[in-house]
Amino acid sequence: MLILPLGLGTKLRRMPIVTLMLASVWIGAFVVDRSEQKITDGIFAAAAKTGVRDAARKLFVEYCLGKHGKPSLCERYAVLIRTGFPHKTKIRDGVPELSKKDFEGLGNEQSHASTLRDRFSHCGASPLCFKYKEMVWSFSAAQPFGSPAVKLLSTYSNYVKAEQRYLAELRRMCLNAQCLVRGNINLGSVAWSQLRHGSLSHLLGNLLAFLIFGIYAEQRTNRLLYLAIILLGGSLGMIVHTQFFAGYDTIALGASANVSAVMGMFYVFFFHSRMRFLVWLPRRIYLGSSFFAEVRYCFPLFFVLADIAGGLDNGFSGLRLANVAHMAHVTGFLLGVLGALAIVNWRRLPKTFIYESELDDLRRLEGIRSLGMQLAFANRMLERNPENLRVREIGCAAALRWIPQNPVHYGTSIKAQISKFLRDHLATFCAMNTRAGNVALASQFVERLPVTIPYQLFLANAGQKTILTLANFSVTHANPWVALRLYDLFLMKYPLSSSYERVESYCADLISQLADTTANMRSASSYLKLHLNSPLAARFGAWLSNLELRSA
Amino acid sequence: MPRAPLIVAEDFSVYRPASIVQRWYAITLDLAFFGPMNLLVSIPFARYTEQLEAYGHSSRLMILSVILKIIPVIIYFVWPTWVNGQTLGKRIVGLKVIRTDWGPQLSFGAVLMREIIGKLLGLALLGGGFLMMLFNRRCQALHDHLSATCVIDYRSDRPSA
Repeated sequence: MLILPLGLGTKLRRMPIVTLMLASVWIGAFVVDRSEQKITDGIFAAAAKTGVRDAARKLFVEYCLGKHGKPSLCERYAVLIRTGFPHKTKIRDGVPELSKKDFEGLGNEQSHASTLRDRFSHCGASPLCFKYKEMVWSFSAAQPFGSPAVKLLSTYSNYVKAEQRYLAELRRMCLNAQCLVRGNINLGSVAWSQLRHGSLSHLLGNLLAFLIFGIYAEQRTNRLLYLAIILLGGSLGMIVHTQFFAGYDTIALGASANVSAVMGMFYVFFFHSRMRFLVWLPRRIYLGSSFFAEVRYCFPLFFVLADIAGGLDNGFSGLRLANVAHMAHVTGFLLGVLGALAIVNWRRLPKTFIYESELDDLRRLEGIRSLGMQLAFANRMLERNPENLRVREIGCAAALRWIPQNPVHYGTSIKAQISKFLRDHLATFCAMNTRAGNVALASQFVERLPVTIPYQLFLANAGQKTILTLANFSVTHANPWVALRLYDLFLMKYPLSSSYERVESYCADLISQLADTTANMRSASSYLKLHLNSPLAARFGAWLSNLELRSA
Repeated sequence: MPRAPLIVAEDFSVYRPASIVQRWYAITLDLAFFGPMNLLVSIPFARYTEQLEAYGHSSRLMILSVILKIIPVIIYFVWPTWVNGQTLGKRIVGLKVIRTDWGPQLSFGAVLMREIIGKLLGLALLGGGFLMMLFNRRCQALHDHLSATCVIDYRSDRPSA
């Protein structure tokens, strides 16, 4: 199973230069910069040199014995104390500060710690397992804050000295390599942390999300502002995470806070839009299907809640090693949301517009005199924002203005372009307006279709709600012909509807009440000529013959 | 002369029943959205539940576990289905739960029967309750039968064959 967001799934108007530029910078930095290895080796070296790991473990053993732990078990579980114990590094040769033996020792400890961690995650109904798990957890929570439970232990002073030496070493190493840890938060380290990535998969994951959302978010606003929010969101996210949520020897790196800021902007800018998801399930159609989902619902559930849950999970379970900087993501996202809200309030757009460029495009659309060019341009605009009602309105109005009133045969005489535009957009325009409560406008457009053109040609995609609302509106506004044509469309579209008979008898009633005017008779006979298969044809025929009989 | 309009309720009989594949897609999306929400509700109680389990307070543990499982199910599945017959996954795929007599508004009891008891029974039968979809024309699973509901393709909007 795979669920992949694909952005808005609409066409772009301008090249997303900032997004592409940042993506290429990250790729370049990943290829060129090799300092990550140096940094990890530095942490190992600092921990070994200062003996902080052993001091922390001794402190734990004393803490554990004080809580009535068995000495052998306390020694055993001390390996889970994380100070000076980076967990993600592979054992390598060729590091000057540490011998190969030290590295092998660390490797054994790593695998031992991972086995214990697995056991702890499935304690089940074992009070002993839970007791030691609780002990490691409470120690991990108390140790960095120097709580009285730890401070009063005899090995605490040794641990503090070792820790100070370790932090000084770490700071010195990070000053050289510009890595971001709690003791080294400065402009250079914050900037470098956003350029570096831990692994290729880390980089690719960030790039994917950044390109999917960034190319659309960049369309909505000024490029410099967009860049500023990304950099600010990324920096603040990294600082907040490092200062308040990460361990003091955990190095923060990666552009995920920047990507989250972009996602925050995307969420605000396209709050009312729908976004495309690719869903792939292992079944016969291997290409999967794509669905459109409302950004306002799916975004928080799919991305933000996952991060908040992950952040809470890291906070609540002291044993789990946090590889993902969830709180950096959340902070970046919040900053992106705030920045985008400021932009949206500062440069307000008309309803259903999502890009500022649409204002210029709209002016251009209104100025175009040629129908063909106007419809083509409206189509291009709707490819970028299918929700733009104003463009749909202008396009449909132009197409309806040029539609022939008395075609000999509608299939050939209506120009293909007009026909296509109305077929694609008129039903949607009516549906959107009806949904928004603007039935009068939709009704005006429907009325403009000449009686000789069957509604099913252009309103075939309209749903039953739209058709019935428009028909009822026409009835209440004394426009029986439009109402009859719409009811006719309903009957033709839904022959199995349970309301079929009610609608039909209502139409018969309407037809019988039509005024005996020449205009009505002419309309009825021309309607009959062109709508032979209409469900109301028999009723119209009977009404006409009655009139003829009466006049004879 | 203006006259009173014809008031016709939306006729759900014109929609096709949702296919198995569509329902599969919808439940996949639902599970993807439901996952983090479920986690978010249970995380603050994780240590407490572990403690209850370790020290053998099984009755308290059971009550807490049931509450922690039911809350996200009510927020994500029961409430939206009751309000408009659609969870987020169904909304995306374009499906809607309606009554088998084509009525739109589901009763709360029917929703509880469908979303909690019916689905649990379906799972308890090793997924057999869900496989019932394969053997009837309206693609009704066990939970649909029990709650007298069916799922329609709300976008099909054309006469059923």
